[in-house]
Amino acid sequence: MRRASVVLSIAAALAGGCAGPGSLSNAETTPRFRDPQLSVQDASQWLAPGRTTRQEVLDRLGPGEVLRFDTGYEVRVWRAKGARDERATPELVVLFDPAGVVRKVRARPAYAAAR
Amino acid sequence: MSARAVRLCVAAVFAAAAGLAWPQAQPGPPATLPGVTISGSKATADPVEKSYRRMVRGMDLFERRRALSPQGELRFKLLPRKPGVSLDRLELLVLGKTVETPIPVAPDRTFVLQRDPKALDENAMVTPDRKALTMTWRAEVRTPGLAPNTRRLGDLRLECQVGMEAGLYSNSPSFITRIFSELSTTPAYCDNPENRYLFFADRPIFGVTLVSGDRREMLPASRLYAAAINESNLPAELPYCDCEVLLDRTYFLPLGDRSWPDDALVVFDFMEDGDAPR
Repeated sequence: MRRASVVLSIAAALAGGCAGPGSLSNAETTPRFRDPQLSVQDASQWLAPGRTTRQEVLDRLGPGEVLRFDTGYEVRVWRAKGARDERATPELVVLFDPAGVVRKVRARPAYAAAR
Repeated sequence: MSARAVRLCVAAVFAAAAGLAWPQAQPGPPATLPGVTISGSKATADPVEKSYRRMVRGMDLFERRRALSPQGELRFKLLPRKPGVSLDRLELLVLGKTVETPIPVAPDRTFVLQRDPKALDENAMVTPDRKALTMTWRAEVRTPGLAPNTRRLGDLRLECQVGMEAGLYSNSPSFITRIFSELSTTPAYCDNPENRYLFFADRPIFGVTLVSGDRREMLPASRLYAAAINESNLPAELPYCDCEVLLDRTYFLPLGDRSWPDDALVVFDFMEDGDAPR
């Protein structure tokens, strides 16, 4: 079963590769914030490490994608889904401490196409 | 069947279990042959052992490809794999038919393997007193004198190659190895642009940035935490990854992207600031 899923993954990857090059669509480069007009830069400047709470972040930005660690720390990421070139895709990453307060913020810009 | 032959069979079972890219069964110790005694008075039943010959092959590769890391020093490193497993007071042996050589393990759980023709001839195993799947292994190549929050990309490229040559890769969950897993058992894998060789930082990481001169690039989140962000099947898959208790330290690098020179620095932004490694 696992091998079957891998075969499907390879087929999907090959199919994606056959789509050919082209400019990235807006949907491929825009993180999914609750407010679609919000930029990564604006969102990062709004966040205040040591003060902004998780609930405030969820209310303003939406849930993003999450990974929780056994230590109590939690990372949430807002990024475009399904981007073909991850280097060209900006993302916002927020670290919450075990108390649910923003500890660190990273606004990753879009980089030029792979060299 | 001779004791030596039986022992080789046991080793083969362990090697096969450790090398499987896609798990075929629920996590747990690999099957053992009943009634088998592994040679050596200090042998542990069901150990997480590695081939001495293969580890020496890794050392040979390190010497051949020193250009990647001209000042680098090679050590091997032991890391915990399961919750609650302590690697303190760990005993490590080179065990062959007659060879039984203790290996000093440093407080940081690194060690150096000495070359021993007799151990090579006896196809010895490097055997800690810990059970299979409780710990994992990596090669470690470090250039002395770097800042504590930095590594050198060439060192890490060589680490990957030595690790592959030495057979220190382990089974990984499908979300990491979706496409390339069966191709990922040779040093050439490290040059693959899509390689996902898992590195472990000294402490939990928040971000990783590549720096070369004026060029700086933060790694995308997809290269951190073993690509586990938003992985819906994580609780079921994680036990198959040797990153299970090291997830917050795990990252993989664009090793095959030669636009980054070997002298590029890998700079860590740790979750908690401070100098003391966890």
